[in-house]
Amino acid sequence: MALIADEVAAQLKEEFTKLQNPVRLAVFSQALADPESEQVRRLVEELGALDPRLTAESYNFVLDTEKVASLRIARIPAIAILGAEKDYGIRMYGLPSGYEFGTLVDAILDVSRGESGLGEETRQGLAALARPVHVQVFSTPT
Amino acid sequence: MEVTGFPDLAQRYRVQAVPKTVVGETVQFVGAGPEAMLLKHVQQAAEGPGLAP
Repeated sequence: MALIADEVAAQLKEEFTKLQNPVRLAVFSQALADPESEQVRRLVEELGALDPRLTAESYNFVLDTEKVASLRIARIPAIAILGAEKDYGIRMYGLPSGYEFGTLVDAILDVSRGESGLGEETRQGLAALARPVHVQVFSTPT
Repeated sequence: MEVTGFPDLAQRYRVQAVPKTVVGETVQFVGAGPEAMLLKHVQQAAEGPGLAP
Protein backbone atom coordinates (compact mmCIF):
# COMPACT_ATOMS: atom_id res chain seq x y z
CA MET A 1 0.00 0.00 0.00
CA ALA A 2 1.24 3.46 -0.87
CA LEU A 3 2.29 5.78 1.95
CA ILE A 4 1.21 8.81 -0.04
CA ALA A 5 -2.55 8.71 -0.56
CA ASP A 6 -3.90 9.31 -4.08
CA GLU A 7 -5.35 12.75 -3.33
CA VAL A 8 -2.13 13.88 -1.65
CA ALA A 9 -0.14 12.54 -4.62
CA ALA A 10 -2.33 14.60 -6.94
CA GLN A 11 -1.72 17.76 -4.85
CA LEU A 12 2.02 17.08 -4.81
CA LYS A 13 2.13 16.61 -8.58
CA GLU A 14 0.50 20.01 -8.89
CA GLU A 15 2.99 21.51 -6.43
CA PHE A 16 5.91 19.94 -8.31
CA THR A 17 4.89 21.69 -11.54
CA LYS A 18 6.82 24.57 -9.90
CA LEU A 19 10.07 22.59 -10.08
CA GLN A 20 12.69 24.38 -12.16
CA ASN A 21 15.82 22.25 -12.04
CA PRO A 22 16.17 18.54 -11.21
CA VAL A 23 16.40 17.56 -7.54
CA ARG A 24 17.96 14.40 -6.15
CA LEU A 25 16.69 12.92 -2.91
CA ALA A 26 19.31 10.68 -1.32
CA VAL A 27 17.66 8.65 1.41
CA PHE A 28 19.61 6.65 3.99
CA SER A 29 18.00 3.79 5.85
CA GLN A 30 18.84 0.52 7.53
CA ALA A 31 16.01 -1.94 8.01
CA LEU A 32 17.52 -4.02 10.80
CA ALA A 33 18.80 -1.23 13.00
CA ASP A 34 15.90 1.12 12.37
CA PRO A 35 12.66 -0.24 10.84
CA GLU A 36 11.21 3.29 10.84
CA SER A 37 13.91 4.37 8.41
CA GLU A 38 12.45 1.96 5.85
CA GLN A 39 9.23 3.95 5.93
CA VAL A 40 11.19 7.07 5.04
CA ARG A 41 12.92 5.25 2.18
CA ARG A 42 9.54 4.16 0.80
CA LEU A 43 8.15 7.67 1.19
CA VAL A 44 11.09 9.21 -0.68
CA GLU A 45 10.84 6.60 -3.44
CA GLU A 46 7.15 7.42 -3.82
CA LEU A 47 8.00 11.14 -3.98
CA GLY A 48 10.61 10.44 -6.63
CA ALA A 49 8.00 8.75 -8.79
CA LEU A 50 5.73 11.82 -8.83
CA ASP A 51 7.75 14.01 -11.19
CA PRO A 52 10.45 13.25 -13.77
CA ARG A 53 12.58 16.06 -12.34
CA LEU A 54 12.71 14.30 -8.95
CA THR A 55 15.05 11.34 -8.46
CA ALA A 56 15.19 9.13 -5.40
CA GLU A 57 18.49 7.44 -4.55
CA SER A 58 18.34 4.84 -1.79
CA TYR A 59 21.38 4.01 0.30
CA ASN A 60 22.07 1.66 3.14
CA PHE A 61 23.51 3.53 6.12
CA VAL A 62 25.77 0.62 7.08
CA LEU A 63 26.87 -0.65 3.65
CA ASP A 64 27.13 2.50 1.53
CA THR A 65 29.95 3.96 3.58
CA GLU A 66 31.36 6.13 0.78
CA LYS A 67 28.05 7.90 0.24
CA VAL A 68 27.49 8.26 3.98
CA ALA A 69 30.91 9.90 4.26
CA SER A 70 30.69 12.14 1.18
CA LEU A 71 27.26 13.48 2.16
CA ARG A 72 28.25 13.53 5.83
CA ILE A 73 25.20 11.64 7.04
CA ALA A 74 25.27 11.43 10.81
CA ARG A 75 22.27 9.24 11.62
CA ILE A 76 19.16 7.66 10.13
CA PRO A 77 16.58 8.08 8.82
CA ALA A 78 18.14 10.82 6.72
CA ILE A 79 17.25 12.59 3.49
CA ALA A 80 19.77 14.76 1.64
CA ILE A 81 18.02 17.22 -0.69
CA LEU A 82 20.48 17.83 -3.51
CA GLY A 83 20.58 19.90 -6.66
CA ALA A 84 21.61 18.18 -9.89
CA GLU A 85 25.15 19.49 -9.50
CA LYS A 86 25.15 21.25 -6.18
CA ASP A 87 24.79 20.20 -2.55
CA TYR A 88 23.37 23.08 -0.53
CA GLY A 89 23.96 21.13 2.67
CA ILE A 90 20.28 20.54 3.36
CA ARG A 91 19.57 17.39 5.39
CA MET A 92 16.40 16.18 7.01
CA TYR A 93 16.65 13.68 9.84
CA GLY A 94 13.81 11.66 11.29
CA LEU A 95 10.33 10.97 10.02
CA PRO A 96 9.01 13.77 7.77
CA SER A 97 5.42 13.48 8.96
CA GLY A 98 2.73 16.10 9.57
CA TYR A 99 3.99 19.65 9.24
CA GLU A 100 7.51 18.39 8.51
CA PHE A 101 6.31 16.80 5.31
CA GLY A 102 5.51 20.32 4.09
CA THR A 103 8.99 21.39 5.15
CA LEU A 104 10.45 18.63 2.98
CA VAL A 105 8.35 19.71 -0.02
CA ASP A 106 9.43 23.34 0.53
CA ALA A 107 13.09 22.28 0.70
CA ILE A 108 12.70 20.38 -2.59
CA LEU A 109 11.23 23.47 -4.27
CA ASP A 110 13.95 25.76 -2.81
CA VAL A 111 16.73 23.47 -4.05
CA SER A 112 15.06 23.24 -7.44
CA ARG A 113 15.03 27.04 -7.69
CA GLY A 114 18.55 27.29 -6.28
CA GLU A 115 17.14 30.11 -4.21
CA SER A 116 16.98 30.45 -0.42
CA GLY A 117 14.56 33.35 -0.29
CA LEU A 118 16.92 35.23 2.05
CA GLY A 119 17.32 38.99 1.80
CA GLU A 120 20.31 40.71 0.24
CA GLU A 121 21.77 41.82 3.58
CA THR A 122 21.62 38.27 4.97
CA ARG A 123 23.25 36.84 1.83
CA GLN A 124 26.12 39.30 2.08
CA GLY A 125 26.58 38.52 5.76
CA LEU A 126 26.62 34.78 5.12
CA ALA A 127 29.00 35.10 2.17
CA ALA A 128 31.48 36.86 4.48
CA LEU A 129 31.53 34.10 7.13
CA ALA A 130 35.04 32.94 8.04
CA ARG A 131 34.03 29.28 8.08
CA PRO A 132 31.06 26.94 7.57
CA VAL A 133 28.43 26.94 10.32
CA HIS A 134 26.17 24.01 11.17
CA VAL A 135 22.55 25.06 11.77
CA GLN A 136 20.16 22.50 13.25
CA VAL A 137 16.43 23.04 13.72
CA PHE A 138 14.67 20.63 16.06
CA SER A 139 10.99 19.90 15.78
CA THR A 140 8.51 17.30 17.00
CA PRO A 141 5.72 15.57 15.04
CA THR A 142 2.53 17.61 14.76
CA MET B 1 15.58 17.29 12.59
CA GLU B 2 12.61 15.44 14.00
CA VAL B 3 13.84 15.07 17.54
CA THR B 4 11.64 12.32 19.02
CA GLY B 5 13.68 9.70 17.16
CA PHE B 6 16.94 11.11 18.53
CA PRO B 7 16.71 11.34 22.33
CA ASP B 8 20.50 11.69 22.53
CA LEU B 9 20.32 14.96 20.60
CA ALA B 10 17.30 16.17 22.57
CA GLN B 11 19.35 15.71 25.71
CA ARG B 12 22.60 17.07 24.29
CA TYR B 13 20.97 20.31 23.11
CA ARG B 14 18.37 20.43 25.91
CA VAL B 15 15.44 20.53 23.53
CA GLN B 16 12.41 21.22 25.72
CA ALA B 17 10.36 23.42 23.41
CA VAL B 18 10.24 23.41 19.61
CA PRO B 19 11.16 24.66 17.14
CA LYS B 20 14.58 24.97 18.68
CA THR B 21 17.47 26.15 16.55
CA VAL B 22 21.07 25.32 17.40
CA VAL B 23 23.72 27.29 15.51
CA GLY B 24 27.20 25.79 15.71
CA GLU B 25 27.41 24.05 19.05
CA THR B 26 26.75 26.87 21.46
CA VAL B 27 24.26 29.41 20.10
CA GLN B 28 20.63 28.43 20.64
CA PHE B 29 17.18 29.96 20.49
CA VAL B 30 13.57 28.77 20.60
CA GLY B 31 10.84 29.79 18.17
CA ALA B 32 11.03 31.93 15.07
CA GLY B 33 12.80 35.25 14.79
CA PRO B 34 13.66 37.90 12.25
CA GLU B 35 16.19 37.00 9.57
CA ALA B 36 18.63 39.57 10.95
CA MET B 37 18.67 37.77 14.30
CA LEU B 38 19.44 34.44 12.64
CA LEU B 39 22.28 36.05 10.69
CA LYS B 40 23.66 37.50 13.91
CA HIS B 41 23.60 34.08 15.58
CA VAL B 42 25.32 32.47 12.60
CA GLN B 43 28.01 35.19 12.57
CA GLN B 44 28.51 34.71 16.30
CA ALA B 45 28.89 30.94 15.85
CA ALA B 46 31.39 31.42 13.01
CA GLU B 47 33.57 33.49 15.32
CA GLY B 48 33.25 31.18 18.31
CA PRO B 49 35.06 27.90 19.03
CA GLY B 50 34.92 25.28 16.27
CA LEU B 51 32.57 22.34 15.98
CA ALA B 52 32.74 19.75 18.70
CA PRO B 53 34.63 16.66 17.48
